[in-house]
Amino acid sequence: MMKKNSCKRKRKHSDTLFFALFSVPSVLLYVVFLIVPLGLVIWLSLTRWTGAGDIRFIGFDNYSFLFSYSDFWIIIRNTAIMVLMNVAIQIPLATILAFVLFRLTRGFRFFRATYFLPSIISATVIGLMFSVLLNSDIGPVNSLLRSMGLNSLALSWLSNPRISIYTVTVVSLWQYIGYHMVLILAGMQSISEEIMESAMIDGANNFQLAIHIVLPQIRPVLEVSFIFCVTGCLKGFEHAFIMTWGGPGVASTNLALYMYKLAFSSSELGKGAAIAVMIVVSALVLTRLTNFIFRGKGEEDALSS
Amino acid sequence: MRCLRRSGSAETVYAMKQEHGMMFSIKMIVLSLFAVTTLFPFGWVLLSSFKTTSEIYGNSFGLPAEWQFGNYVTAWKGAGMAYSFLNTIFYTTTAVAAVLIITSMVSYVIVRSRFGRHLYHFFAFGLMLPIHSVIIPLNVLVNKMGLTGTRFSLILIYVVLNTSFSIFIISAFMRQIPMDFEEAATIDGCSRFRVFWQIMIPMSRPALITAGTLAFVSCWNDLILSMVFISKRQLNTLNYSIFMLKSQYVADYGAITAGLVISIVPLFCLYVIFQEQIVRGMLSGAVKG
Repeated sequence: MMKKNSCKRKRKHSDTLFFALFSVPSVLLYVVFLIVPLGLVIWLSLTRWTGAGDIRFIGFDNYSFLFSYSDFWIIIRNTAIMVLMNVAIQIPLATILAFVLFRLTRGFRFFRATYFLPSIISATVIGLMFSVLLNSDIGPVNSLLRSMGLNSLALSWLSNPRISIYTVTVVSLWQYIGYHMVLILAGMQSISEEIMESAMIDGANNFQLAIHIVLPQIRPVLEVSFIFCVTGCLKGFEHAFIMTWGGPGVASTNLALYMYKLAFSSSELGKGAAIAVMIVVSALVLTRLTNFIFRGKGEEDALSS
Repeated sequence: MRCLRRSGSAETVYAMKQEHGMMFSIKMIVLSLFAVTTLFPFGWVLLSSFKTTSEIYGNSFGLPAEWQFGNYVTAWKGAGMAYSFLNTIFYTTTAVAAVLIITSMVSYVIVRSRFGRHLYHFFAFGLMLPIHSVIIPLNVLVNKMGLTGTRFSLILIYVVLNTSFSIFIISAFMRQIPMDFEEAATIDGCSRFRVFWQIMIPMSRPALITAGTLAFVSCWNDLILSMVFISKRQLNTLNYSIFMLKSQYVADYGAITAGLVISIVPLFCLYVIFQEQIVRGMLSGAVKG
């Protein structure tokens, strides 16, 4: 009895050692390169620093400067435009397309593969591709418009400060709509066939089927789609980075691009860090808000369960 | 991902009913229009990559009068794609291998140890915190460690970029593997390490493939991280070359489009071959793998 016990304890002891050793690499990297920087970004946001020389603690001055800076409000507006357009156009359109494709047997695989294609390609490549396509002289978009006699619609998509933010948003919409469609489609396909069939037998038409059966069933997937869409707008900036460099001026800059510009081209590390903190906070708040809207409180959230 | 696997044979009773008549034609028209919108830009770029700049301007939609293969030479040599291509392959494969090794190790701990739950929640936090938002202090940190501008720094960052997602996918899969095999092996005197290496790893293959593809795509597509952490051109990535193409060949649209084709083709081929895995991998962040 004694012997057995000590054997068990020994085994347990070596298990603990084994588990610890196996966790070390991931934990170490994760802490050093993600958790520590998170702490540092909060601290940096309270300082003035150019990357060299002394770091000066200035309290909330970076934040109060930004909030009283007119360009900053244009950037907030741009970010809001991106989020709203994506949520209001991308997700509904993706849902409709997914529903159209849902019960198709012929061509299903082809269409799904085609729609998904742009989302696997880097935003850099897509951005450069569209800066050629939308070029006001050489681009096919304007050639097409001119050949249809719509000269007044052949705008300078990238250099007109009033429309460049919409151009950038539409490109990101174009790139990722297929992703959301396939995601929502996967949600639709996991609806049990009994539910669908019994609704069909009861004589539900396509519209009724969509509203009363499919939509409530895909709510969890829609929620994830919303979260990805919103956080994507907050953290992504490659399209604007390549196509317009956020310009003209700051006309197509969003928060994430502004953070990059402040830190890496104006050497304003403190202000850049303040923007980073705002991005993280608003991503968390909007994720929680989406959870709340979709489920009500008390239920577990999608990503961390 | 049950749903995705089933999609190949979507012939269900209610689907069959929908295959005739007006409704079907309308559906086909809508879907085809959208497919054209998706494919047209790629087709146009491919065609333009064989034209001279003046022809792209004058003859935007037709076939090239004379096929200009020289555009590819200009893009490949001028933008340094020869080495940036190899660099990207090196960074991506190394980072993917490393992230799969360390995250499968920690995933095993998560599913089999008492403190696994806490560990899981600790890493799950990273799902909500994109690495790009801490890029400023990260750069300072890497600088202080004396790693800035090295290949090693970028690989490390790529590993961290994919750690949380990879753990999410692999531990979800490992959790479903029954204990029986391990118990039998342990009774036979198998060490923990051998249990992990000879039982858990082979059995988790599907999850490893999914996590690996996802990590591959996210590393391959990165631009910002490589711009921040690697400054030397010879060490830089394919996406960086693409970015440089724009400033270097401002008006040479033939070369720019050729460069675009060079960077799209490998990913496109991979997509054609591994379509199911890639789609599953990219969705697995949302639908548990």
